[in-house]
Amino acid sequence: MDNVIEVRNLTKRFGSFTAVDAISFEVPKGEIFGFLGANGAGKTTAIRMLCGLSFPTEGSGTVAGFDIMTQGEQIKRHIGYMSQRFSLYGDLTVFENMQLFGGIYGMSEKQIAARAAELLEKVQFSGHRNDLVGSLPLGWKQKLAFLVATVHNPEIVFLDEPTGGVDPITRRQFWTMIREAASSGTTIFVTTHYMDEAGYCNRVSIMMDGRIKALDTPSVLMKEYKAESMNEVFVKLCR
Amino acid sequence: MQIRLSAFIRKEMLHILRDKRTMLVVLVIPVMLILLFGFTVTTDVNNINVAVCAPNRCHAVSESVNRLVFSSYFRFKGYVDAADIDMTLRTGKAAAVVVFAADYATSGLFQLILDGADVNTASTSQAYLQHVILGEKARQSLFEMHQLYNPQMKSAFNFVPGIMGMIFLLICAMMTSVSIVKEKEVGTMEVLLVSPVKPAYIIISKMVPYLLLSCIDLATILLLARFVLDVPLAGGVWGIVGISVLYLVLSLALGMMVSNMARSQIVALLISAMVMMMPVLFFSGLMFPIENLPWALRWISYVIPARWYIDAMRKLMIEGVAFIGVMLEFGILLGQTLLLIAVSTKKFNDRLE
Amino acid sequence: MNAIEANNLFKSYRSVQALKGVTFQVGKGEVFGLIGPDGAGKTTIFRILTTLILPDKGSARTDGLDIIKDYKEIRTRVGYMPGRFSLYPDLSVGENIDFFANIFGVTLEENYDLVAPIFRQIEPFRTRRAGKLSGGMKQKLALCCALIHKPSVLFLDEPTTGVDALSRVEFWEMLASLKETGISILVSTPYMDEAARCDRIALMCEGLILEICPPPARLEDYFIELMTRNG
Repeated sequence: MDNVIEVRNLTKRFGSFTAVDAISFEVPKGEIFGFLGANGAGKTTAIRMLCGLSFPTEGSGTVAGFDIMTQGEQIKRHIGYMSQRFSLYGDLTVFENMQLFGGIYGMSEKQIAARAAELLEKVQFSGHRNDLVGSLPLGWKQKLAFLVATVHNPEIVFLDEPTGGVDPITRRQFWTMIREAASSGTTIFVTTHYMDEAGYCNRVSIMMDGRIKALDTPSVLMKEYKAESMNEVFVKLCR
Repeated sequence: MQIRLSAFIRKEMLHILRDKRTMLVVLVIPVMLILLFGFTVTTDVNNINVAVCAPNRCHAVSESVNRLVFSSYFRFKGYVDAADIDMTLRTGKAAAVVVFAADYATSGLFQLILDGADVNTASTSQAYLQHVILGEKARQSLFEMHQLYNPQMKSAFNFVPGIMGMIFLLICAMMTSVSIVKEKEVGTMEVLLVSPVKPAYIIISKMVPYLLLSCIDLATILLLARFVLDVPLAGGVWGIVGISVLYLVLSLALGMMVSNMARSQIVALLISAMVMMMPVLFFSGLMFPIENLPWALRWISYVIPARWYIDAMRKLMIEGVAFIGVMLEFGILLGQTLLLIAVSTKKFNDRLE
Repeated sequence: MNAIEANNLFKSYRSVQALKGVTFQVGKGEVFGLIGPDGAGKTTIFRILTTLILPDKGSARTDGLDIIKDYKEIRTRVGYMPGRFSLYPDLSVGENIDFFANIFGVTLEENYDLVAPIFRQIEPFRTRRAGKLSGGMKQKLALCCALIHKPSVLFLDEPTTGVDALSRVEFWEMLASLKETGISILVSTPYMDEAARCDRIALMCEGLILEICPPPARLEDYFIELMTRNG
């Protein structure tokens, strides 16, 4: 199988503190991979290394076929990123945001226009192409942020707590979008504090104190820990 | 148990002490400004380039030119032809040209041509040139000029009170308003408001640490002014300190007002920097003499506290007027301070809207 | 007497209608949950009941006191944890506790019994700066500060947002033991799974309470159904 992410013994130390301690895993193409962990378990540090934003102290790996030690710039061109904290520019319109991010990834105006039309059509939002993002309801902002993160057809999309604070209907729609993107071959790497969302992932890893404590499909994990829900798995594992 | 004000003040002090970078800026910037203005930004005449045009280089001419050459105020740039005078000034080769009449020896006539682009330098060098060229003869002229209080014509003297008026306003108003608005931004203000704490406690605890900090600045500036820039401080140190502390309290109250208006730290910064600094620069006599302002603007200057403070400081620090001579300024500042404190306490909102 | 009574509350900010007529009661010793997405009006309710803002219309009582007339008295009786982390990150854990004890004119020792279970967990970090704590620890410290004056009503606005699942479970266990002491708690959360821990919940959306009920099984499906029915 084609692995889009492959890391071996990835380690990051800050002075004497080991934030990420020799983690190894691979993510095949088109998978929805849940990356869970307690606050301060090292998730953010690990994601930064995968996105080419910081160098590992030790270990090796490839993301989208590029070496994380030497080809950080190429990695950035082939991934998309969305976080709850920063999504879109509220003072730009929906389309202007897409233009901006398409432009950052070197797409031509023509390509951007075509891709924007396609994406907005898919979520039935074409009528709001020229609305200011700031004036839209939160749920739509989050959905648009996801579309913008995929505007350049990245091989992997990193989602950092993408559904914080949205209503349950939007949350379900959001996950429908994620599943559609995954079935068309985009790999999804997602962190969340909603444990029911962990159940929607193909496979889930749970980090604690810089190490990956568990990595499998939700159903296997629930069986292994004799738990009814992913929440229970998480609590049993971390306690 | 009672709510202790000291615990509030202690907490504010901890905030300041732990923000080392800001504290450094607050303590170092005044020193830098004073030294910068004192030594570099000066309207004193020094090493002005002067060329001479003399069709008849007689003995009298060369005697006058000699005085020019040996004067520390001017740098002699050589003789030029009458046709080249314009070019010499235009190219900046010289800032002034002295043209001696052909019969200078007998008539004593000469002409000064000055580069008026820099008005200040031009007018001061005009006076100096006259003096130097006439030499002994100047003493025999009909009128005599005496500049009191600042015999060496040091412009740094004038800047010191101006900079004090500016710095204290900046530090006190900006720092207090930012620190209050920061609590609004972070959300701690919400918790403070939903508690039985009196607004006065919050206000006083914000003011005291910055008052102490700016007193350190005041001491530094006065020491620098006295011992590095040789400003006389002739009117008595206690009067200077007294009015300065009053002005500090006033600036702190202004900061309180700003924090009532601003919702984010950026806005607080902008209001204190632009809305409050601009009037100080324009209407306090720091840049332009107040007497030269049109009457409408002069009226505005009457409500600018910095104007009265700077006036009082000029009198006390440079002219050597005793404290009794600045009672008017003191009274006005006191009135403004009380008014501002009253308004900002009243306006301090104990709700979020 | 109810701990909280809100009658037909309305509130607008400029063009946004935050509350469009909200009515509910919280009984003494009850844990009442406000459940809904961002922008549903949860924070506005908290701010009105804690006397931070005034409603445009309607009335409310907190701990039997009128939120407009008796706001000074209410402020001595409630504990409030606003949505964001609202402690001083540059002060240490101990300094934060001492400061918040002082603003209520109490000491940690006076009400030690109440905060002891929480305080013991953060005590090892007493000298650490609050900003350097992990999410779960910050939240425990904030709860400790909100409880220090032994309030009769506790207001917790999204106390668990952005906190990991384990800390959330621990937090709710602390609330359960607080409830034993008879304190009334109004809490909001966007996490559906936490609603099950409340005695009763109000499901909120766009400034309205859609329903008040004991937490149903399969809450999310129920909520979605409600939202669709109400358009």
